[in-house]
Amino acid sequence: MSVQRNLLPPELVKLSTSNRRTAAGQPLIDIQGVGKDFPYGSQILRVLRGIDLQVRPGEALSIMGPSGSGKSTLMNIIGCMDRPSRGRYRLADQDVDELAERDLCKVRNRTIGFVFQSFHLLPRLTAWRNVEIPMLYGGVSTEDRRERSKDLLERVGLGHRLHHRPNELSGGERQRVGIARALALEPALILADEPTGNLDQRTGKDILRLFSTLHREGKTIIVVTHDPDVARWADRIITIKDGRLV
Amino acid sequence: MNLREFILMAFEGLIAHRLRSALTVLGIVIGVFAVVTLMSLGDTVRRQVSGQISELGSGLLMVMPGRDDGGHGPGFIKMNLTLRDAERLKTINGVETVNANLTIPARAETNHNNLNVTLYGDTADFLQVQNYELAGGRFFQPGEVMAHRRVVLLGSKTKAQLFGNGDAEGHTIRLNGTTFQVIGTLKEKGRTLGHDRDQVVVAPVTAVQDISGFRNIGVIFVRADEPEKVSLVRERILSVLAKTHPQKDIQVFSQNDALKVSEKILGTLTTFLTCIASVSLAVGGIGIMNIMLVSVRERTREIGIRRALGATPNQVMAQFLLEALFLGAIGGILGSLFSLFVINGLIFWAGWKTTGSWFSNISTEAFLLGILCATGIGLIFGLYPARQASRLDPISALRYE
Repeated sequence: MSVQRNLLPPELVKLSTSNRRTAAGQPLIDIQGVGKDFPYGSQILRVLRGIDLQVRPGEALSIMGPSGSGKSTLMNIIGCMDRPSRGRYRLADQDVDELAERDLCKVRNRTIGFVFQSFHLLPRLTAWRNVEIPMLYGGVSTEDRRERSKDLLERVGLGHRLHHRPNELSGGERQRVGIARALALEPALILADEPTGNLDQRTGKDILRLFSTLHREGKTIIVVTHDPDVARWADRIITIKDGRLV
Repeated sequence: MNLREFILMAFEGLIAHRLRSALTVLGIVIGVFAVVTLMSLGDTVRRQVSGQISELGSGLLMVMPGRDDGGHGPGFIKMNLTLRDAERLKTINGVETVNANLTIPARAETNHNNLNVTLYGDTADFLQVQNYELAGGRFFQPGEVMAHRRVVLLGSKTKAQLFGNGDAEGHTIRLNGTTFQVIGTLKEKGRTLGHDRDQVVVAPVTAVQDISGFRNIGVIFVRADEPEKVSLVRERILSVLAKTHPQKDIQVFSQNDALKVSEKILGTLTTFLTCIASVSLAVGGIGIMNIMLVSVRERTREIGIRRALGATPNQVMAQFLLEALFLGAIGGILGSLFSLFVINGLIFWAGWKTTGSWFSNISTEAFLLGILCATGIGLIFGLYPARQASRLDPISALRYE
């Protein structure tokens, strides 16, 4: 499971942020004074207020908080799916606020690997093809993509499920496909949103064990959850409440 | 991400909803089929008519009853030309041949067989003017026309029907009950515009007058000795005939006039029908837009996933635009091919002579235009849905149920 083969073409290896050394001592994620407002009727809802957060490369972090606390919004901002209303966000030595929409897509593609609560696999595609999607947008050639996708699935223990569609897989297997997909372009950061939320306890533990393996291999992993048992998996737990870190 | 990947992805999207894609394509197929078929048929008919008129030769003038100011078309008008008119035209300087023609339907009978034929009553220059050739025997002489001789030549089909493989010359047949002697046979001509030019017989115009009871003739064909003299000869014909036709109840058509008139009529007709057919093509385009909008709505979550995994708005747009484009293009190709089959079927059924190749019967412009138009329609009507898809917010798209 820990076999890590690098099949990316050289020009992508260069781009792949896990190989890019952040300047010595620099955090992978540096969030300062980030706030986020949403219009709510005629009022403005302040969902995040003055968040400061640093995450070192190789760290395993849990973000906890009840629903409505703003943890999803924070996760969206960290994942470059949304922009903060205020404050600064640096990810892998890049000022995300200054990036154009196109470059944000690139960051999502290369720097971040998403793992979702409801897996978000494309139902029509086989596990193999699902894992290929980020590489499709990342410009990896067809052959490299095939090979790497297969490798990744073997790495998460699904070598025997390559040609199965999501509805032919169990929940745990689907999440493994999701994780393999998140690893496709060797991102610097794995961002998991309630990765065990749709799984039974035992399967959930398996998934967390897989995360631990990845963590030991040097991946930076952030898990967003409301479940203390899941959160305890990480080195560090932060809790968010009413838009502030506590 | 290269074009091949996009094309593959678009096809996957279409195949995932086979029935829906097929029905959408059907809308385009019908539109393209209608447009291409009508354009090509119009073209074919025009070529046939033009060919037939051109066959007459550019030096030919037709004198017919009718008025220059329009009003009636020939055929619905009283026959008012006489053999004496034809005789007078022979005196005009610059005229090579003058043919007096009276054409009537007739029943041709032998003792064993009978057949409904077209009976051309004509004069001695018939072969040159109508472009027939002798297969055997001889044509009748001017003297035989003057003498009202009951002699007849048989078109190839008439001969085959009445006499089979045997000789016809020297035998007699009855035309509307009157006995004629067969003096020759004509070579095959084929069909033109549904009129069988082989199921005919040719007899002296005077004899046809006798058996039909008409005292006048239908048309006078005048050939100028040089094509350039056509308009001059036309003026002279009008002035000569002005004496016997003071009411100016005759018309002189040149081959060019006839060509122009038929081109105009058929061109207008084709344009008109094509316009109507284009409406169905537009409806097909709206079908594409409709289905693409549904598809974008249905695949909102997929779009959200792709965006989260790094697809740019342009890449999402390209994916949906290509799907719409393929719907149009496939419809265009199928519609044009379908049209190709139907047109060749129709031509075969009508028995028109064509140059032989399948593709020569379909208007090439129509064929390519059909495919191109359909592809363009897919592109245009796919633009809006694809734009909608590309503008979706990734976060809300991911949450969409």
